[in-house]
Amino acid sequence: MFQKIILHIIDTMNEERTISAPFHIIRGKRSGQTIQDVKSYGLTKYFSLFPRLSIQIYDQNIQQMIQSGWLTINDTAIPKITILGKQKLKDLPILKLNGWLFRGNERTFFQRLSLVTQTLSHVKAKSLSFTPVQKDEKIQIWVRQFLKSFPYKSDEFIQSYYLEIMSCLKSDNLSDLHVSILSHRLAGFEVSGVTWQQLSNVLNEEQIDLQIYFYEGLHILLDEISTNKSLVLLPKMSEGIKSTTPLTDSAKRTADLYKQGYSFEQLISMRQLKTSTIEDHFVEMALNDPSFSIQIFFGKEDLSILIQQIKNQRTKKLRTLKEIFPLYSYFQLRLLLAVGGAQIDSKSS
Amino acid sequence: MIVNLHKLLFDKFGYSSFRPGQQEIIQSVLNEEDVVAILPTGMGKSICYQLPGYVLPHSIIVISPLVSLMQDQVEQLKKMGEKRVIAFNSFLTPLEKSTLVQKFETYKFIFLSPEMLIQDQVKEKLQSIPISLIVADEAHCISQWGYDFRPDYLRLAEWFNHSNRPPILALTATATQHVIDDISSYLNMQDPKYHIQSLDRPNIRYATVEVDSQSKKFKSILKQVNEFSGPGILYTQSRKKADDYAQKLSNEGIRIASYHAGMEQVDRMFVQQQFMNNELDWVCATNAFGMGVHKGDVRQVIHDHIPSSVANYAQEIGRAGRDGADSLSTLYYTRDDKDLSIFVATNDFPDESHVKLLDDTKKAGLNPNHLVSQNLLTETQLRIVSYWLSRKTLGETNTLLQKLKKQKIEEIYQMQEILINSSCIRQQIIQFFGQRIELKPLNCCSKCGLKIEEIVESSIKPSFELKLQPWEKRISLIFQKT
Repeated sequence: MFQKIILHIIDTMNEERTISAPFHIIRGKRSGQTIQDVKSYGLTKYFSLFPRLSIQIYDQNIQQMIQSGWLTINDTAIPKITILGKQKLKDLPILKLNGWLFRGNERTFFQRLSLVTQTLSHVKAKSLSFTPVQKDEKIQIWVRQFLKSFPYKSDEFIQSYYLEIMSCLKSDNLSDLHVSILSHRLAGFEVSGVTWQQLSNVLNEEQIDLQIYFYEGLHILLDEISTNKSLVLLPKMSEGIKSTTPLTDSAKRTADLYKQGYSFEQLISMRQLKTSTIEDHFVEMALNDPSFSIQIFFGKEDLSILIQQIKNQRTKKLRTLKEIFPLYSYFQLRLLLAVGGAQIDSKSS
Repeated sequence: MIVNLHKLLFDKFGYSSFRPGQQEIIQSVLNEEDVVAILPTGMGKSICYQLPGYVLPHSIIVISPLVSLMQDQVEQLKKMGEKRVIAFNSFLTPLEKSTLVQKFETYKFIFLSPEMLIQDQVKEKLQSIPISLIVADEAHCISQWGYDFRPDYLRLAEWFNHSNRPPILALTATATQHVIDDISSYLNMQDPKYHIQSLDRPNIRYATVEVDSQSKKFKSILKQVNEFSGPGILYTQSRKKADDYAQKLSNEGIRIASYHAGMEQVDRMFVQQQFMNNELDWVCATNAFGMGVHKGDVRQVIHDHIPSSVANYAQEIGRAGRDGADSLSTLYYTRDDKDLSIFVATNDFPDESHVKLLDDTKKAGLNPNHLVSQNLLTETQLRIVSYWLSRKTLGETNTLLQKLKKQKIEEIYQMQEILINSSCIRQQIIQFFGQRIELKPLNCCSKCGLKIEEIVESSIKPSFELKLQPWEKRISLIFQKT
């Protein structure tokens, strides 16, 4: 399934991006180009699916797909999907991933969940000396503070935590596979966790596919937590997990200054960044903020006509657009694409 | 200072008696003497500074060269309810470091990795706060004759070179004269007390088996694991091999999982949990496994290769039989295995080209860390070469590195020699650490005569096989709702 996700991204990009573009999306690279790609091609669900994916593993998968005859790559590094690849793409399930919203933070949520669960399980068993499964000090501190804000040693508290978990995992949106993976990745008193290798052996699925289902399950779970009004503890545990600002941190700073009234040129010197970087930030603002106006970069021109003309070209490749609209700068074209090109996430095939 | 040590031992640690040597070492520490303490691996070294921590008034600094070991010790202390403990190592961000350094005196136990010793902020802080004791753990790393030389460790001596420094406790499981001399002289010890225990572990019996091919080796290991009971650890050389063995042996119905640094941290914890809970009989591991696994009833350790040194071998087999009951260590090897071990041990070792590369980079005023990010040097290579280049000339560095590399190869030959000659394995291992043994146990080793069936029990087929539970049942189990 992992390879088919790459294939889906390649297919959607329609021979307009190089083979490294899917890599950056899957890693969740916070660059103007990648953010523009996920937005304009409707690939937000895959953003940051594997933030620590190594280039070696990615290359291995690409090579395997080439050998299987699913895709070809031309000498300008642009991948093209084959007919066989198209067919393979049909088995890719529609995943309810929401990478853009969580950006890898769902892992932090699960770390909290896992350590709170392990701790309460041991408290319940009156066996307070145990080795935490989560070694990350930041997670440990968070969990300690969270638990200390409640009477966490009381049976009532543990019971209500248990009931919240049960009620969330019962959600109709989660499949049997989701809850099976999620519950076996939790551990407690005399209940050992199950490794990916072991899950893979028992369920007869690739480890990486199980991990994709796991992240999908977490995205669904987090969605459930934010909409289920009867929950108290789990919403607190998912605080700060959803990205509240869709901008990269650096673009956020530029945007804040821009809102205070500084001009484009002033921002370049204030932020001591290259012009192209500030341009990236503006494109990001255009992509994410519906109230952001790009008019100041176009004088008195009628933008709605211009945007429609761009759309009619049915391409998002800047070089092609530049040839058709030579009077506009790349920056202007990117702004137009950002405002006019954003589309709803495409489904597979 | 009159303290009831036995009461403290029981109250704080839950033990009713000291292990051999512990009480004498603790007494010397409390008398503010410099101490070199030699104890066999895994036999309660940490009590020797943990207990004094509850008697002495100020902070205790523990220099710990292995991050995994450090983290394990910190976890052990936390598990016992000690909150004033901190691990200060390269995993912290600069901000975390400077925040934590400011609060050093609020901690009872401060664990430092040797690299942290060269940081100015750490040095300044440590020289300004009251310290009751400095512990040099794995102190053989201070000696270039030790098997795991860590140059940064030497900085410790450079700092506490003044007369009113706190006393030092050096702990190691190496008793060779060379290393002991280096420890006491590099650390400027004042008339140190030596507490030397027998490094022999009589309940561990040694078997070495030469086989003539890798496939024979696998078959023999499979046979042994099938016939004789665990819990056991199967040590191998690479991540891939660990996964392979685990897969093949679990296909044969053995409850085994692999364990190596390439796995997610949580997965490694899960393997540990399963091993501790006796849901696994075997763990197939690289040398990443062992630290943090405090399982007393490990009955077998098997090696499928020639370890990189006698010291590492002793460390790994030392994980068997900590409960004192009979345990078996078996090493399978072929005549060619030494070549692979030499490759593994020297593959990452810097040579002349690396020295020249770093020298050029430094002379050009460039940041040497780029060499690592460009994959021109590994971190280990950079660490070793930078240390020597900042102290010695290019030529001297090259000579020295050649010598060290030769030594690494020599160590493998030493290990191989123990396997292939006809002398007692136990005697040879103990001799390596600078001791002799007087009394050998029955069934001492495969050279002296060993009946395996008298040492380990025959294996019983597991009644349990890994099955996933319905999720509701699993969550209920976690919260004991049955």
